[in-house]
Amino acid sequence: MKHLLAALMLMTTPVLAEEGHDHDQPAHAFEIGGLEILHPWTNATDQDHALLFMDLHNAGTARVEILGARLDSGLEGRLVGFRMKDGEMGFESLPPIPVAPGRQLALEPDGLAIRFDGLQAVLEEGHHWEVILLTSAGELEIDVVIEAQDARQHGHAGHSH
Amino acid sequence: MRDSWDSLPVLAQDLIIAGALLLPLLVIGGILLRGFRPLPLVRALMWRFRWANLLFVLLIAVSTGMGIGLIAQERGLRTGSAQAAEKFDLVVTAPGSELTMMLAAVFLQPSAVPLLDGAAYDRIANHPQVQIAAPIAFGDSHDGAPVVGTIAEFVTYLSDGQIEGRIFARSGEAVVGAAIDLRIGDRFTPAHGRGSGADAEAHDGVGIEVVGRMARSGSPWDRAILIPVETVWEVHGLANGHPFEDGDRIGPPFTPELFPGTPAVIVHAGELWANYALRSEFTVAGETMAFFPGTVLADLYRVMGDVRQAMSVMSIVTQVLVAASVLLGLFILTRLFQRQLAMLRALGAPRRFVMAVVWGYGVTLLVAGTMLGLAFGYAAALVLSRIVTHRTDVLVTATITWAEVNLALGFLSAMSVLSLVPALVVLTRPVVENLRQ
Repeated sequence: MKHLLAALMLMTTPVLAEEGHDHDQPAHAFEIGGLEILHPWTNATDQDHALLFMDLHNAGTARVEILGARLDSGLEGRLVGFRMKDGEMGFESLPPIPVAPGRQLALEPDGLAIRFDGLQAVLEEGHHWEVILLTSAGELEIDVVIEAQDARQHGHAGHSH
Repeated sequence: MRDSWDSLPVLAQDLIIAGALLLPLLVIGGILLRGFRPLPLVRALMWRFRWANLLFVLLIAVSTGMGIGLIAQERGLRTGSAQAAEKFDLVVTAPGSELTMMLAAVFLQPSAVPLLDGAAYDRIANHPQVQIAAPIAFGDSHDGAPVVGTIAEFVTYLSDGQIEGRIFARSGEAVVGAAIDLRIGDRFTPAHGRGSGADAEAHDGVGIEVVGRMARSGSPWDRAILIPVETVWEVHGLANGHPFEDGDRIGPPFTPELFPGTPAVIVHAGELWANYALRSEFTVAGETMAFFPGTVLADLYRVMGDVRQAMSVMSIVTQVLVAASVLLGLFILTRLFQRQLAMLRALGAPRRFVMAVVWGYGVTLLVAGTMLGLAFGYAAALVLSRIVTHRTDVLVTATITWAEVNLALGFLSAMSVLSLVPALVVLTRPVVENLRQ
């Protein structure tokens, strides 16, 4: 009987582990001035540029503008929008974008993003990257998950937090 | 180094790449031909074996032209489809396949798609960042051309205001695309449906008058007939979006309860950044889906990019096979005139001069074949573009760019280096034995 119980426990452990949500690792949700920042992520790259993505939701009562981002080194990231021009894909710089109370804004591939040019270090898949998000409500340090080079969304996309 | 390269104009970069590709040919030519005049002999060889030479030139030209034509055509199709979708910043539809919705709303391909209701349209149209929220309604046709219901503001935006005649001002009027065979003042009755299954008599008694013609845009909308969305609803026996007391008024605002539904709303925002915010706001699970046609096309081009890579590999394999054939051919041709070459050597011609003659002969064939190949490639792209434009109404323009020229120059340069092999082999053959043959 004891062996049977042990075997059952062994069989169920991986399932429980899979269902568990590891929040000891880099946080996936941040908040400043009522603005919720969910699942910030980027693609692994050895190039000198990277795009930063995230989901934003203004749960506060005042509108918050997204201004851009910055690294500890001082390197600034600017807001860009994906555009198709004459059949060529590219990005255009954008002014600060407001998120009104109750509204959402998605920074995602082939859409809106924060672009860093002139990166010095390689971004390795599975690691995380510390970025300072610049908003009209203040500056906020966020942990950015580095996904695979060809990832199109955050590994936890679709989860509810 | 990288920064210096990036700072150069694109034309300068292309010219430098072309020069680098031609460098091996120029260096070998300079070394072999220096101080000699082998051209009269090369010319004589060209004439002596003219039919065999012509066949070789054609072989090189066809293989080079095929690769160039396909690559140029793929780029033309990509550019043409992107330009056709440029006016469509953001499209809002019921949830489903973005590709299906884009093909229906932007490229006017017939498709059964779910409708957005009046409340959804009202929410989109009344958003402060939305400048134009154009409902579209399709399903009818005239002489094979789609009849699309929409609003006057969208027609003005789509044509950049370039309309011969005027915009429709009441139900029962139409503005036609540039490729439609109807004149201003003509009247027509739309058929229900499109293609072979269209019912020409379903809307008997309905007469629509053409009051304007849009300038050519290079998109499938050139072959569309635009009428007030109210007309589409009315001829199908639906409410026209306005209360009875509004009389004959057309265009927004619409009363949500009297809005029969639309498969898509074309949204144009006042500012570029607003499109991204609107996309997030109008993507509501189970209710509406907002997408950028440019993004859907980008996904499509990524798939096409893979196909292009496969085509490039096939093209390279073809080129390698042709290169092998050309080399083999040069060996055979040098066998044909080995007696003459042996005579040259017996008369005391330097070994380098004999090499220069054989190499110059091979390179002449290659240059002629490559130049002709570029012309073939351009002609192939031109014919394919016309066929695709005719079938899809997407204006596809054939152009040969530096990418294709450099591809051809790369092939020419590599083959000119390989042409040294038959030239060297000629020198290894015994002179006396060759003279006896």
